[in-house]
Amino acid sequence: MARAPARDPAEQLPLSPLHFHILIALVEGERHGYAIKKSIADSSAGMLEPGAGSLYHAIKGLLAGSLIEEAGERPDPHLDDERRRYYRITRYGQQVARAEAGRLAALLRRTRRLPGFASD
Amino acid sequence: MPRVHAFLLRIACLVLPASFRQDYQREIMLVFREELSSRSGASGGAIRVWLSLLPDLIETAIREHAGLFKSDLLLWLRFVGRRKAFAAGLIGNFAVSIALASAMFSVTYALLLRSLPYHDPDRIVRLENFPAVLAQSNPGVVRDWLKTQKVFEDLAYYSPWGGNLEGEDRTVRVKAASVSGSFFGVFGQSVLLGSDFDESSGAFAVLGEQVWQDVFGGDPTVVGRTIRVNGEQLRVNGVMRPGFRFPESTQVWTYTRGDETLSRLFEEQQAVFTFVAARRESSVAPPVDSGPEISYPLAERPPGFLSLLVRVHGNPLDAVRPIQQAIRDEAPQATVFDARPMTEYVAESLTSHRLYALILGTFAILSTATSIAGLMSVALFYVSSRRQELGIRLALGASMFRLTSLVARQGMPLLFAGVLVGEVLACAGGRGIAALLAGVQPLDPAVHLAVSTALLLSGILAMLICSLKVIRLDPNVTLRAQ
Repeated sequence: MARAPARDPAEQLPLSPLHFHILIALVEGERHGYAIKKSIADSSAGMLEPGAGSLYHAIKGLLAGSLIEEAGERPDPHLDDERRRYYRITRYGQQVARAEAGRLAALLRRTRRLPGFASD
Repeated sequence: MPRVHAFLLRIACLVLPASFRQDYQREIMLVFREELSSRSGASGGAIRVWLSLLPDLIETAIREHAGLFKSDLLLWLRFVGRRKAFAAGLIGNFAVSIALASAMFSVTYALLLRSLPYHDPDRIVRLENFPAVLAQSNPGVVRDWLKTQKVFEDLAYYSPWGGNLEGEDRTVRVKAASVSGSFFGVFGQSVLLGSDFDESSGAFAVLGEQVWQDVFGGDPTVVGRTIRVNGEQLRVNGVMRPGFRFPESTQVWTYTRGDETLSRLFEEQQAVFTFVAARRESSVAPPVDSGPEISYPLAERPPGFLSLLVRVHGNPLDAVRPIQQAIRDEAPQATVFDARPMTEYVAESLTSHRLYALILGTFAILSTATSIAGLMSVALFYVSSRRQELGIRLALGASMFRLTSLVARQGMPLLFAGVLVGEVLACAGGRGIAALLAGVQPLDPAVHLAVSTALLLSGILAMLICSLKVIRLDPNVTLRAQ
């Protein structure tokens, strides 16, 4: 069977802050929706707190782009015994997240060279 | 999570597209539950969770619906690109159906269904051939009788005539009517611009909306100016609302108030005719010193008879007998006939028009039914042409609800395009019909909305029925048939 041609991660750039944060949250492991939301709030120091609708709209988009995938349903041992849908990042999603991190790092380096933006 | 929150959240989630709800509503509810429990200790925690959730849900709904619309539109454009003749046929069929049905129903509605544009038309009695001689021979008797009667709420007279209205750049022949000051009040009508007849002296005119547009170009400054009708100078007091043309498509209503008293006019024989119009409320005693409301010397138009309009309390037919009796008592030689409620009078004058409207309405219903049948055939062709795609979707586990809603949703742009083109044609055609038939509104919103909605719903129903027909087949059979 012929393999699908590898997709260029640069096609997906730039990512929206929410999409990037979801990918970063999933790099750390499989998570369900609420855990992703908590992780985003923690990593952005409360600056990004997506609502449930926006979160699942973004997740839907990432699933459609094959950047993440569903990892089945199971209960969260820390919350309760209700089954939740877990998500995990795909290899392609990791490449895209790395490319986005590289893009942001390059932007940061360039910004720091500007007068008045140098780090202390 | 408390049941009330779960119930309210399910209701709130209805703004989201069905497909999104099916995939993510349960997950959204779980996130919401955790949010609620994490803020359960804080005061107003639940309210804060709701206040952050609702705008977010609405924003998500807009994005999701926009995304669905975009993908449907792309699919539709691809489909139309492949089947241009089919799309043009569907849109054309739909457009012509809407245009024809709107035009035919506009006429039918105007003549058969719409009530008269007067306030309580069934309480207005029209007395034809009221003898002017009665008023001339003994005006005091008529005036006193009108003062004492308790049946009328309002009373007016009119006398139609024709005249040449001199505009700024041309003179047109118009139908006019000399009316009493209470004329518009009897009909419960108010003017579009200016005022109707006021209490000051002089000769006034109120213009019809059509003549105001045609002769004066809809210029609002015409109010207060002096116009000439048959050489007579009249000050324009106002412009009447569109649709009011009584009697007989009148476009200029004139009214003269003299300084003379009624009795002086008769004594000096200055008036060829005069009449008294009085306004009486049954519960209010008439003022003792109430004088004549109008007097109108029209030497050049000697009338033998007037038409009298009476707005009555209760049953109009009950008022006819006392009027006839009073006239018989005072003028045995006079015979007042044709005393009928306004609705009956108008109904009779429209008998032949109504017959045509009935025939036209029947044809309109038949043509609409034929259009719907044609629409069903086109819809069946549209759905059948997607048989293979629907079969694949069905085989992959798509529910019947999703497939039927998909077909209906994707057919919608074609139907909407048809409605749009049809409405443009109907409006253009309606203007032509309105120019030919008085009282037919080219943009009658009730008719246009009803016709467009009926055909649009028929189109959607046709799509749904046809898609169900295909989807109910075994997917294996459907796929094998290709």
